[in-house]
Amino acid sequence: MERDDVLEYLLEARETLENIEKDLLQFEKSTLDGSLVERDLLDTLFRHFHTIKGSSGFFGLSAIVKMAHAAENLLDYLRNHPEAQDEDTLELLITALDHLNELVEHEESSPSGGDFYKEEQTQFLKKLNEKNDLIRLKQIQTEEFAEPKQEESEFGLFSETKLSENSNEEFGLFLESSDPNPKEEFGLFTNDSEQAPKEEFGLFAKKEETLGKESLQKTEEILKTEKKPVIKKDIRIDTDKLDSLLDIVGEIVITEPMVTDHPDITKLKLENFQKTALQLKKLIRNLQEITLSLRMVPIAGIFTRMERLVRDTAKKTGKQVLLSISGEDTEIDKSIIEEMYDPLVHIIRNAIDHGLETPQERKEAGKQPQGTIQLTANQSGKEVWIEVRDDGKGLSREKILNKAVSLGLIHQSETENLEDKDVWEFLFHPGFSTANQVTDLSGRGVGLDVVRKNVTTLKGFVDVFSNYGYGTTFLIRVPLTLAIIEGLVVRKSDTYFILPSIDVKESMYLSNEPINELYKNNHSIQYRTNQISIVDINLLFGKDSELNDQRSLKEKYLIVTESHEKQMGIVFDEILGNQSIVIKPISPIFKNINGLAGCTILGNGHAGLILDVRKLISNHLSSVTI
Amino acid sequence: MSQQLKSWDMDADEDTMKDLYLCFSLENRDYAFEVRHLTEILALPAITTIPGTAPFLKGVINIRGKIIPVMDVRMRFDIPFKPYHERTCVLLVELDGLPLGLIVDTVNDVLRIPSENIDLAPKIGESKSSRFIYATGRVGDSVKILINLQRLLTEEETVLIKDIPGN
Repeated sequence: MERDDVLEYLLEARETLENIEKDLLQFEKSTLDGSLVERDLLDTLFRHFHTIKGSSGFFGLSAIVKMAHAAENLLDYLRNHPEAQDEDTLELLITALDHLNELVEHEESSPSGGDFYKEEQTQFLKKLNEKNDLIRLKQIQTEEFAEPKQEESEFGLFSETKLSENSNEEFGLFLESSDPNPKEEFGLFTNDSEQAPKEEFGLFAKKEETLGKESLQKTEEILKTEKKPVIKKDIRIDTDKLDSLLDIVGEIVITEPMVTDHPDITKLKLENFQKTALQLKKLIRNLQEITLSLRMVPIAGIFTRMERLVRDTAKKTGKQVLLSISGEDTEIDKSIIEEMYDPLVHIIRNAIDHGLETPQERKEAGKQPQGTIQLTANQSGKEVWIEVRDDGKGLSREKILNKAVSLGLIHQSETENLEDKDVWEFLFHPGFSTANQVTDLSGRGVGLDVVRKNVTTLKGFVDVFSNYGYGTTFLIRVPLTLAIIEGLVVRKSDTYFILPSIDVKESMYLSNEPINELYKNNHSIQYRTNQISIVDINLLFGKDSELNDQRSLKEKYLIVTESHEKQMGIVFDEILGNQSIVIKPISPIFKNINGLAGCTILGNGHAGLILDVRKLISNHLSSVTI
Repeated sequence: MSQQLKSWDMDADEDTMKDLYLCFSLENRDYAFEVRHLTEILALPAITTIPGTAPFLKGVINIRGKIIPVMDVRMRFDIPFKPYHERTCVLLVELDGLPLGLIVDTVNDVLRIPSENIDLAPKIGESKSSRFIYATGRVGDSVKILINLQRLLTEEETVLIKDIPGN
């Protein structure tokens, strides 16, 4: 078996496991409110486990097969005996899922022939199989009681095969063995199938018409349910292919005006040509939009993963938490979604661990015992806003300030005048934790600073709002996509640069602004109430600034950029305007380039350089002081 | 002799390309490299200079939507810079999967140089540009200098680029 095939399968398996998790959480809801799980849900779950088992068997991953098989057995029992549903079975299924996840992950990172690699797993499988045997034994006993006709010997046969089957994971037989057929026929059937090789199964079904029909029905049912939930049709695409598609479409978009406004034909009167050209333009615009949307996926994927997190965290902390999710169909670039997972996990964990009170405390505060966490996504212009809002106790200004003072971040005398939002800002300081004690969940030094760092790499922002006693809200704003940014195209001699619009504060004409030269390579200008450093590209990339000898700055433009509330002006010759830019990486041949975020191709066919303004500002301002 | 060459030439299975060399000139000297590295020959498009890199890395060009770095081979060989003219060419090559454009004065032709006509370059000192030369090839009365393209981008350059202030 090719390793690549296995890896691809494991990726698929992960998706199925995610679906299982989603369904199990649904399962849990009905378990907790005391209602019976819907048959549909059980069927879906059963099918998922069955799929995992079947495909893993094909790839020889025996541990996964065993685990999935046991879970499948349990589910199949539930399908026929829904009254057996309880928290214990739920817990078993969830743990089985965890083990499957672990096994898949292990197989991905260190292929080991697909067997169990932890004692814990074997132990759990044993437990699960025991449970299966137990509930079936119970049932059989009650049935036996009800049907005294049942003969002992046949019964013995039955339970024997059942046991051996569980440990042998002969999954071809599975369907039949758990079939709740009358015992007599069942006995016959197991005998038969034991002796007969597989090919004869067809024959057998003919012979035993009643039983055959039933099992056929069952297979049909499975087939049917397998086909039924076609909600969306996905296809996995190599991102390289997608990128080259994006490239080509980008080129078409650039070439289109070159053709339709070709200098050879501009002077001609070509009415019909113009009409067709217009049509082509429209189509190309559609093509571009669709291509760009290919990378976009709904955020629902990570939102639903949070449900599990909330469940587990709530359990560990002994709190009651309701997670309400909205806006999960908001679309966002796939690569951004992946990067959002960790920050969200951290924030939600914090919200439950530090934010929400215990049911007791909540009652005393006059709140519902169950805390609420609202997870919301919505699109706002070219950004996606993701909000995590809890109705817990809120941030304590006093506590945070005390900590900040003790860490030497601020002097006691200054604390009075700080606005709330400046106080909350301390939370993002590395090593800042208000947790009184290190718990299993938080306070291990990985703090909100990491969250902010992750989000900043995505060119996004994290803000926190809090109302003491009423809750805390974290707002993450990230761009819709990383592949395309809005940028200001500027020119410096014959090189075109792009400044991400998000970093640009203002652009101004330098005509009569007085420029102060402090010393060589250090110029500043009065901007609003501040003196800000002004530089040119040469200086930013380590050469002498042209501002030193060039006093004819009157014709030039100054772009005021801002990052982390630090401002810097960069001088350019010309501003060409705003444009959507497809970001392409710079060849690794250019080593150690600091300050460039990538390249792009401009409408005029030139390659343009995208400036990493944040890095430029921090590099420059750490070397210069005004 | 031919034995040694074989070991250098790892991809000798491309029989049709075997012994074929692309010849170009710098300062009236003829250079050549194996044609299998070559993907395309282009007239020089507009170059976008990348600030803060080594001088011989001239910047990037746009080739049908692909952004490709270009290197001035003269400057790489420490030959003084000469302004580009209409015959200046870019040779697109691919080295270890990385596309690279080589700016040269003029491209001559593709020649077959059988391995018996190739003599490994004598090691005369370790001057900067001799590092790129691995052999010479006799074609009729003339001699082509055979260059090892991989060496154009060796690790030593990292140090050089690092030395540039601001990096």
